[in-house]
Amino acid sequence: MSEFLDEIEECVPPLRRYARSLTRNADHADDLVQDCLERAIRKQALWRPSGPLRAWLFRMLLNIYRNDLRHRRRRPATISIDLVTELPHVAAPQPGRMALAETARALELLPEEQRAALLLVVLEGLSYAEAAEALAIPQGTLMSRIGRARVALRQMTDGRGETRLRTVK
Amino acid sequence: MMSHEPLITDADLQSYANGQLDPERRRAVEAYLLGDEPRAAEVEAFMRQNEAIRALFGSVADEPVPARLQPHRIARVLAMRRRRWLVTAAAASILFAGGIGLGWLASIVATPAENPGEALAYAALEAHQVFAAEGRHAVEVAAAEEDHLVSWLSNRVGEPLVAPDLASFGFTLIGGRLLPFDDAAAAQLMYEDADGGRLTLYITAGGAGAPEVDYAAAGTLHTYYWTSDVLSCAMVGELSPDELKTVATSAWRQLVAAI
Repeated sequence: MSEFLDEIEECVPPLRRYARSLTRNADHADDLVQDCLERAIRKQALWRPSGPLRAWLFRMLLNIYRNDLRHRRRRPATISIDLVTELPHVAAPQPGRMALAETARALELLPEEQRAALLLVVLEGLSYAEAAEALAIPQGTLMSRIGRARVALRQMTDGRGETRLRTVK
Repeated sequence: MMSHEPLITDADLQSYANGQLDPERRRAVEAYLLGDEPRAAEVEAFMRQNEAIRALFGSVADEPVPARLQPHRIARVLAMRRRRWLVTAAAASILFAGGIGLGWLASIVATPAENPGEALAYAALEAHQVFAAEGRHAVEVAAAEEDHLVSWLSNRVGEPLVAPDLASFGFTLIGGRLLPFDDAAAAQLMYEDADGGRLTLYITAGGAGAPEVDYAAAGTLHTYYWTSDVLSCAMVGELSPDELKTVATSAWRQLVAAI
Protein backbone atom coordinates (compact mmCIF):
# COMPACT_ATOMS: atom_id res chain seq x y z
CA MET A 1 0.00 0.00 0.00
CA SER A 2 2.72 2.41 1.03
CA GLU A 3 4.71 1.70 -2.13
CA PHE A 4 1.62 2.28 -4.21
CA LEU A 5 1.09 5.62 -2.47
CA ASP A 6 4.69 6.60 -3.14
CA GLU A 7 4.18 5.84 -6.81
CA ILE A 8 1.03 7.92 -6.89
CA GLU A 9 2.80 10.73 -5.10
CA GLU A 10 5.28 11.04 -7.95
CA CYS A 11 2.40 11.55 -10.35
CA VAL A 12 0.77 14.36 -8.38
CA PRO A 13 2.77 17.27 -9.84
CA PRO A 14 2.14 16.14 -13.45
CA LEU A 15 -1.54 15.56 -12.69
CA ARG A 16 -1.84 19.06 -11.27
CA ARG A 17 -0.08 20.52 -14.28
CA TYR A 18 -2.32 18.68 -16.71
CA ALA A 19 -5.48 19.54 -14.79
CA ARG A 20 -4.43 23.19 -14.71
CA SER A 21 -3.83 23.20 -18.44
CA LEU A 22 -7.29 21.73 -19.03
CA THR A 23 -9.20 23.99 -16.67
CA ARG A 24 -6.99 27.10 -16.45
CA ASN A 25 -8.25 27.43 -12.90
CA ALA A 26 -6.01 26.42 -9.99
CA ASP A 27 -8.79 25.53 -7.52
CA HIS A 28 -10.88 23.65 -10.00
CA ALA A 29 -7.78 21.78 -11.17
CA ASP A 30 -6.81 20.76 -7.63
CA ASP A 31 -10.39 19.63 -6.95
CA LEU A 32 -10.16 17.33 -9.95
CA VAL A 33 -6.82 15.96 -8.83
CA GLN A 34 -8.09 15.34 -5.31
CA ASP A 35 -11.11 13.51 -6.63
CA CYS A 36 -8.86 11.46 -8.90
CA LEU A 37 -6.46 10.54 -6.08
CA GLU A 38 -9.27 9.55 -3.74
CA ARG A 39 -10.75 7.27 -6.37
CA ALA A 40 -7.40 5.75 -7.19
CA ILE A 41 -6.64 4.99 -3.56
CA ARG A 42 -10.11 3.64 -2.90
CA LYS A 43 -10.06 1.44 -5.99
CA GLN A 44 -6.63 0.14 -5.22
CA ALA A 45 -8.01 -1.87 -2.31
CA LEU A 46 -9.97 -3.92 -4.82
CA TRP A 47 -7.96 -3.79 -7.97
CA ARG A 48 -4.54 -2.74 -8.99
CA PRO A 49 -3.77 -1.65 -12.55
CA SER A 50 -1.32 -3.87 -14.37
CA GLY A 51 -0.11 -1.24 -16.85
CA PRO A 52 1.69 1.99 -16.10
CA LEU A 53 0.16 3.85 -13.20
CA ARG A 54 0.60 7.22 -14.89
CA ALA A 55 -1.69 6.46 -17.83
CA TRP A 56 -4.27 4.98 -15.45
CA LEU A 57 -4.28 8.13 -13.33
CA PHE A 58 -4.52 10.45 -16.32
CA ARG A 59 -7.40 8.39 -17.62
CA MET A 60 -9.24 8.68 -14.34
CA LEU A 61 -8.58 12.41 -14.18
CA LEU A 62 -9.93 12.86 -17.70
CA ASN A 63 -13.05 10.86 -16.92
CA ILE A 64 -13.75 13.01 -13.89
CA TYR A 65 -13.08 16.19 -15.86
CA ARG A 66 -15.41 15.14 -18.67
CA ASN A 67 -18.18 14.02 -16.34
CA ASP A 68 -17.84 17.32 -14.61
CA LEU A 69 -18.20 19.19 -17.89
CA ARG A 70 -21.20 17.12 -18.86
CA HIS A 71 -23.09 17.22 -15.59
CA ARG A 72 -22.45 20.69 -14.42
CA ARG A 73 -22.23 22.13 -17.89
CA ARG A 74 -19.49 24.14 -16.40
CA ARG A 75 -17.77 26.33 -18.89
CA PRO A 76 -14.04 26.34 -18.20
CA ALA A 77 -12.90 29.65 -16.87
CA THR A 78 -11.40 31.75 -19.60
CA ILE A 79 -7.81 32.72 -19.22
CA SER A 80 -7.34 36.35 -18.41
CA ILE A 81 -4.65 38.58 -19.78
CA ASP A 82 -3.61 39.20 -16.16
CA LEU A 83 -2.84 35.57 -15.76
CA VAL A 84 -0.78 35.58 -18.89
CA THR A 85 1.21 38.64 -17.99
CA GLU A 86 1.81 37.34 -14.48
CA LEU A 87 2.86 34.12 -16.01
CA PRO A 88 5.87 32.13 -15.44
CA HIS A 89 9.31 32.59 -14.27
CA VAL A 90 10.43 30.03 -16.79
CA ALA A 91 13.98 29.37 -17.78
CA ALA A 92 14.99 31.46 -20.77
CA PRO A 93 14.76 31.32 -23.72
CA GLN A 94 11.02 31.44 -23.82
CA PRO A 95 8.49 32.67 -26.30
CA GLY A 96 7.42 36.27 -25.85
CA ARG A 97 4.46 37.09 -23.68
CA MET A 98 2.28 37.97 -26.61
CA ALA A 99 3.00 34.63 -28.22
CA LEU A 100 2.13 32.91 -24.95
CA ALA A 101 -1.11 34.82 -24.57
CA GLU A 102 -1.93 33.98 -28.15
CA THR A 103 -1.28 30.29 -27.65
CA ALA A 104 -3.30 30.27 -24.43
CA ARG A 105 -6.29 31.75 -26.20
CA ALA A 106 -5.95 29.51 -29.19
CA LEU A 107 -5.75 26.41 -26.98
CA GLU A 108 -8.96 27.43 -25.35
CA LEU A 109 -10.73 27.50 -28.69
CA LEU A 110 -9.69 23.98 -29.62
CA PRO A 111 -12.28 21.22 -29.31
CA GLU A 112 -11.82 19.60 -25.92
CA GLU A 113 -10.79 16.21 -27.34
CA GLN A 114 -8.02 17.78 -29.42
CA ARG A 115 -6.75 19.87 -26.56
CA ALA A 116 -6.72 16.90 -24.18
CA ALA A 117 -4.69 14.84 -26.66
CA LEU A 118 -2.21 17.56 -27.55
CA LEU A 119 -1.49 18.51 -23.93
CA LEU A 120 -1.03 14.92 -22.85
CA VAL A 121 1.74 14.40 -25.39
CA VAL A 122 3.34 17.85 -25.57
CA LEU A 123 3.02 19.03 -21.99
CA GLU A 124 3.12 15.70 -20.15
CA GLY A 125 5.46 13.92 -22.52
CA LEU A 126 3.42 10.73 -22.67
CA SER A 127 4.24 8.22 -25.37
CA TYR A 128 1.59 7.64 -28.02
CA ALA A 129 0.81 4.30 -26.40
CA GLU A 130 0.33 5.80 -22.93
CA ALA A 131 -1.67 8.76 -24.21
CA ALA A 132 -3.93 6.50 -26.28
CA GLU A 133 -4.47 4.37 -23.18
CA ALA A 134 -5.25 7.42 -21.07
CA LEU A 135 -7.73 8.73 -23.62
CA ALA A 136 -9.15 5.30 -24.37
CA ILE A 137 -8.75 5.77 -28.12
CA PRO A 138 -6.67 4.02 -30.80
CA GLN A 139 -3.23 5.45 -31.53
CA GLY A 140 -4.26 6.46 -35.04
CA THR A 141 -7.09 8.56 -33.63
CA LEU A 142 -4.73 10.11 -31.13
CA MET A 143 -2.28 11.12 -33.84
CA SER A 144 -4.95 12.62 -36.03
CA ARG A 145 -6.37 14.62 -33.11
CA ILE A 146 -2.97 16.04 -32.32
CA GLY A 147 -2.40 16.78 -36.00
CA ARG A 148 -5.66 18.66 -36.28
CA ALA A 149 -4.94 20.51 -33.05
CA ARG A 150 -1.57 21.68 -34.38
CA VAL A 151 -2.97 22.87 -37.69
CA ALA A 152 -5.78 24.74 -35.92
CA LEU A 153 -3.34 26.33 -33.48
CA ARG A 154 -1.19 27.45 -36.37
CA GLN A 155 -4.13 28.98 -38.16
CA MET A 156 -5.15 30.85 -35.05
CA THR A 157 -1.73 32.25 -34.29
CA ASP A 158 0.45 33.95 -36.82
CA GLY A 159 3.37 34.28 -34.48
CA ARG A 160 3.41 38.08 -34.56
CA GLY A 161 1.30 38.68 -31.52
CA GLU A 162 -2.05 38.76 -33.27
CA THR A 163 -4.62 36.07 -32.84
CA ARG A 164 -6.61 35.47 -35.96
CA LEU A 165 -9.63 34.27 -34.12
CA ARG A 166 -11.97 34.89 -36.99
CA THR A 167 -10.40 32.18 -39.06
CA VAL A 168 -11.54 29.43 -36.76
CA LYS A 169 -14.62 27.86 -35.23
CA MET B 1 22.56 10.31 -44.98
CA MET B 2 20.63 12.06 -47.70
CA SER B 3 21.94 9.50 -50.13
CA HIS B 4 19.64 6.91 -48.56
CA GLU B 5 16.69 9.17 -49.31
CA PRO B 6 14.62 7.84 -46.40
CA LEU B 7 10.93 8.22 -46.98
CA ILE B 8 9.72 10.89 -44.59
CA THR B 9 5.98 11.06 -44.16
CA ASP B 10 3.76 13.72 -42.59
CA ALA B 11 3.27 11.30 -39.73
CA ASP B 12 7.04 11.30 -39.20
CA LEU B 13 7.11 15.07 -39.01
CA GLN B 14 4.27 15.03 -36.51
CA SER B 15 5.92 12.35 -34.46
CA TYR B 16 9.17 14.27 -34.59
CA ALA B 17 7.46 17.35 -33.16
CA ASN B 18 5.63 15.16 -30.66
CA GLY B 19 8.90 13.72 -29.38
CA GLN B 20 7.97 10.16 -30.31
CA LEU B 21 10.80 9.10 -32.61
CA ASP B 22 13.77 6.97 -31.72
CA PRO B 23 17.17 8.65 -32.18
CA GLU B 24 17.85 7.07 -35.56
CA ARG B 25 14.56 8.13 -37.09
CA ARG B 26 14.94 11.55 -35.52
CA ARG B 27 18.29 12.04 -37.22
CA ALA B 28 16.77 10.97 -40.52
CA VAL B 29 14.03 13.58 -40.16
CA GLU B 30 16.54 16.28 -39.27
CA ALA B 31 18.64 15.45 -42.27
CA TYR B 32 15.62 15.51 -44.52
CA LEU B 33 14.46 18.88 -43.19
CA LEU B 34 17.77 20.49 -44.14
CA GLY B 35 16.73 20.07 -47.72
CA ASP B 36 13.05 21.00 -47.47
CA GLU B 37 12.58 24.54 -46.31
CA PRO B 38 8.76 24.75 -46.34
CA ARG B 39 8.36 21.61 -44.31
CA ALA B 40 11.16 22.66 -42.01
CA ALA B 41 9.23 25.87 -41.34
CA GLU B 42 6.16 23.82 -40.56
CA VAL B 43 8.05 21.68 -38.08
CA GLU B 44 9.60 24.80 -36.62
CA ALA B 45 6.11 26.16 -35.99
CA PHE B 46 5.17 22.94 -34.19
CA MET B 47 8.24 23.23 -32.01
CA ARG B 48 7.25 26.78 -31.09
CA GLN B 49 3.83 25.46 -30.07
CA ASN B 50 5.58 22.99 -27.78
CA GLU B 51 7.65 25.72 -26.20
CA ALA B 52 4.65 27.97 -25.69
CA ILE B 53 2.60 25.18 -24.09
CA ARG B 54 5.43 24.25 -21.75
CA ALA B 55 6.09 27.87 -20.88
CA LEU B 56 2.41 28.37 -20.06
CA PHE B 57 1.91 25.42 -17.76
CA GLY B 58 5.25 23.75 -17.08
CA SER B 59 5.91 25.58 -13.83
CA VAL B 60 2.76 24.17 -12.18
CA ALA B 61 4.62 20.93 -11.52
CA ASP B 62 7.21 22.82 -9.46
CA GLU B 63 4.64 24.33 -7.11
CA PRO B 64 4.49 22.85 -3.62
CA VAL B 65 1.75 20.22 -3.40
CA PRO B 66 -1.02 21.19 -0.96
CA ALA B 67 -1.74 18.81 1.92
CA ARG B 68 -5.08 17.77 0.49
CA LEU B 69 -3.32 16.29 -2.54
CA GLN B 70 -0.85 14.14 -0.63
CA PRO B 71 -1.68 10.48 -1.27
CA HIS B 72 -0.54 9.26 2.16
CA ARG B 73 -2.77 11.78 3.86
CA ILE B 74 -5.70 10.92 1.61
CA ALA B 75 -5.25 7.23 2.41
CA ARG B 76 -5.32 8.00 6.15
CA VAL B 77 -8.47 10.07 5.80
CA LEU B 78 -10.18 7.35 3.77
CA ALA B 79 -9.16 4.73 6.31
CA MET B 80 -10.57 6.89 9.08
CA ARG B 81 -13.89 7.26 7.31
CA ARG B 82 -14.01 3.53 6.69
CA ARG B 83 -13.24 2.81 10.33
CA ARG B 84 -16.08 5.01 11.44
CA TRP B 85 -18.36 3.22 9.07
CA LEU B 86 -17.35 -0.16 10.45
CA VAL B 87 -17.80 0.97 14.03
CA THR B 88 -21.29 2.15 13.19
CA ALA B 89 -22.11 -1.00 11.28
CA ALA B 90 -20.97 -3.09 14.23
CA ALA B 91 -23.04 -1.01 16.60
CA ALA B 92 -26.01 -1.40 14.30
CA SER B 93 -25.75 -5.16 14.17
CA ILE B 94 -25.54 -5.36 17.96
CA LEU B 95 -28.59 -3.21 18.37
CA PHE B 96 -30.59 -5.04 15.79
CA ALA B 97 -29.52 -8.38 17.22
CA GLY B 98 -30.79 -7.15 20.56
CA GLY B 99 -34.11 -6.40 18.99
CA ILE B 100 -33.76 -2.65 19.27
CA GLY B 101 -34.65 -1.49 15.78
CA LEU B 102 -34.12 2.22 15.64
CA GLY B 103 -34.96 4.04 12.46
CA TRP B 104 -32.25 6.63 12.65
CA LEU B 105 -29.56 4.04 12.64
CA ALA B 106 -30.29 2.94 9.11
CA SER B 107 -29.76 6.44 7.81
CA ILE B 108 -26.51 6.84 9.68
CA VAL B 109 -25.16 3.55 8.39
CA ALA B 110 -26.12 4.46 4.84
CA THR B 111 -24.25 7.76 4.89
CA PRO B 112 -21.32 7.28 7.24
CA ALA B 113 -20.08 10.49 8.76
CA GLU B 114 -20.78 12.45 5.62
CA ASN B 115 -22.41 15.32 7.47
CA PRO B 116 -20.59 17.36 10.11
CA GLY B 117 -22.99 16.49 12.92
CA GLU B 118 -22.51 12.77 12.49
CA ALA B 119 -18.75 13.12 12.22
CA LEU B 120 -18.84 15.05 15.48
CA ALA B 121 -21.04 12.44 17.14
CA TYR B 122 -18.69 9.63 16.12
CA ALA B 123 -15.65 11.50 17.32
CA ALA B 124 -17.34 12.23 20.64
CA LEU B 125 -18.42 8.60 21.05
CA GLU B 126 -14.95 7.34 20.28
CA ALA B 127 -13.30 9.78 22.65
CA HIS B 128 -15.74 8.82 25.38
CA GLN B 129 -15.08 5.12 24.88
CA VAL B 130 -11.35 5.65 25.20
CA PHE B 131 -11.14 8.11 28.09
CA ALA B 132 -14.20 7.50 30.26
CA ALA B 133 -12.83 4.02 30.94
CA GLU B 134 -9.59 5.47 32.33
CA GLY B 135 -9.08 5.65 36.07
CA ARG B 136 -6.17 7.92 36.95
CA HIS B 137 -5.66 9.29 33.45
CA ALA B 138 -9.21 10.10 32.51
CA VAL B 139 -8.39 13.80 32.22
CA GLU B 140 -5.38 15.85 31.28
CA VAL B 141 -6.15 18.77 33.56
CA ALA B 142 -8.23 18.14 36.69
CA ALA B 143 -11.19 20.17 37.88
CA ALA B 144 -9.05 21.51 40.74
CA GLU B 145 -7.55 23.80 38.09
CA GLU B 146 -10.83 24.63 36.43
CA ASP B 147 -9.92 28.22 35.52
CA HIS B 148 -6.73 27.12 33.84
CA LEU B 149 -8.51 24.23 32.11
CA VAL B 150 -11.22 26.46 30.69
CA SER B 151 -8.91 29.22 29.48
CA TRP B 152 -6.51 26.72 27.92
CA LEU B 153 -9.27 24.87 26.08
CA SER B 154 -10.89 28.15 24.99
CA ASN B 155 -7.62 29.28 23.47
CA ARG B 156 -7.02 26.07 21.66
CA VAL B 157 -10.56 25.56 20.42
CA GLY B 158 -10.80 29.22 19.47
CA GLU B 159 -14.05 30.17 21.19
CA PRO B 160 -14.75 31.29 24.75
CA LEU B 161 -15.87 28.17 26.58
CA VAL B 162 -17.25 27.41 30.00
CA ALA B 163 -17.43 24.15 31.86
CA PRO B 164 -21.21 23.88 32.23
CA ASP B 165 -22.43 23.38 35.78
CA LEU B 166 -24.32 20.08 35.87
CA ALA B 167 -24.52 19.74 39.66
CA SER B 168 -28.30 19.93 39.63
CA PHE B 169 -28.29 16.66 37.65
CA GLY B 170 -25.85 15.05 40.06
CA PHE B 171 -22.79 15.42 37.84
CA THR B 172 -19.55 17.03 38.96
CA LEU B 173 -16.75 18.17 36.66
CA ILE B 174 -13.63 16.04 37.05
CA GLY B 175 -11.54 17.74 34.36
CA GLY B 176 -10.88 17.80 30.66
CA ARG B 177 -8.49 17.29 27.79
CA LEU B 178 -7.59 18.57 24.34
CA LEU B 179 -8.22 16.31 21.34
CA PRO B 180 -7.84 16.61 17.58
CA PHE B 181 -10.93 16.83 15.42
CA ASP B 182 -10.43 16.93 11.66
CA ASP B 183 -7.85 19.65 11.22
CA ALA B 184 -8.85 21.51 14.37
CA ALA B 185 -8.89 21.11 18.13
CA ALA B 186 -11.69 19.77 20.29
CA ALA B 187 -12.21 19.94 24.03
CA GLN B 188 -13.50 17.03 26.07
CA LEU B 189 -14.92 17.80 29.50
CA MET B 190 -15.65 14.90 31.80
CA TYR B 191 -18.22 14.67 34.57
CA GLU B 192 -18.96 12.01 37.13
CA ASP B 193 -21.96 11.19 39.30
CA ALA B 194 -21.97 9.73 42.83
CA ASP B 195 -21.92 6.19 41.44
CA GLY B 196 -18.94 6.83 39.22
CA GLY B 197 -21.06 7.05 36.05
CA ARG B 198 -19.35 9.28 33.54
CA LEU B 199 -20.55 11.84 31.08
CA THR B 200 -18.41 13.64 28.52
CA LEU B 201 -18.99 16.84 26.63
CA TYR B 202 -17.09 17.14 23.36
CA ILE B 203 -16.80 20.67 21.98
CA THR B 204 -15.32 22.10 18.80
CA ALA B 205 -15.45 25.50 17.17
CA GLY B 206 -17.48 26.02 14.05
CA GLY B 207 -18.95 23.27 11.98
CA ALA B 208 -19.90 23.45 8.37
CA GLY B 209 -23.47 23.09 7.28
CA ALA B 210 -26.86 23.91 8.70
CA PRO B 211 -27.45 23.91 12.44
CA GLU B 212 -28.81 20.62 13.64
CA VAL B 213 -29.67 18.79 16.82
CA ASP B 214 -29.71 15.06 16.74
CA TYR B 215 -29.29 11.87 18.61
CA ALA B 216 -27.14 8.82 17.97
CA ALA B 217 -26.01 5.75 19.86
CA ALA B 218 -23.42 2.99 19.80
CA GLY B 219 -24.16 0.04 22.05
CA THR B 220 -25.14 1.36 25.46
CA LEU B 221 -23.69 4.79 24.80
CA HIS B 222 -25.91 7.60 23.70
CA THR B 223 -25.10 11.01 22.40
CA TYR B 224 -26.97 14.23 21.80
CA TYR B 225 -25.24 16.66 19.53
CA TRP B 226 -25.66 20.19 18.31
CA THR B 227 -23.93 21.86 15.44
CA SER B 228 -23.90 25.54 14.60
CA ASP B 229 -21.51 27.70 12.67
CA VAL B 230 -19.87 28.96 15.86
CA LEU B 231 -19.75 26.02 18.20
CA SER B 232 -20.63 22.36 17.91
CA CYS B 233 -20.85 19.93 20.77
CA ALA B 234 -21.88 16.40 21.64
CA MET B 235 -22.71 14.97 25.03
CA VAL B 236 -22.06 11.28 25.54
CA GLY B 237 -23.12 9.02 28.37
CA GLU B 238 -24.99 5.92 29.41
CA LEU B 239 -28.07 7.79 30.54
CA SER B 240 -31.44 7.06 29.02
CA PRO B 241 -32.13 9.17 25.94
CA ASP B 242 -34.60 11.35 27.86
CA GLU B 243 -32.26 12.00 30.79
CA LEU B 244 -29.40 12.67 28.45
CA LYS B 245 -31.45 15.13 26.48
CA THR B 246 -32.29 17.12 29.60
CA VAL B 247 -28.69 17.30 30.81
CA ALA B 248 -27.31 18.00 27.33
CA THR B 249 -29.79 20.78 26.71
CA SER B 250 -28.74 22.48 29.92
CA ALA B 251 -25.05 22.18 28.96
CA TRP B 252 -25.70 23.56 25.48
CA ARG B 253 -27.59 26.57 26.88
CA GLN B 254 -24.72 27.36 29.22
CA LEU B 255 -22.17 27.08 26.42
CA VAL B 256 -24.17 29.30 24.10
CA ALA B 257 -24.65 31.89 26.87
CA ALA B 258 -20.88 32.18 27.25
CA ILE B 259 -20.23 32.94 23.57
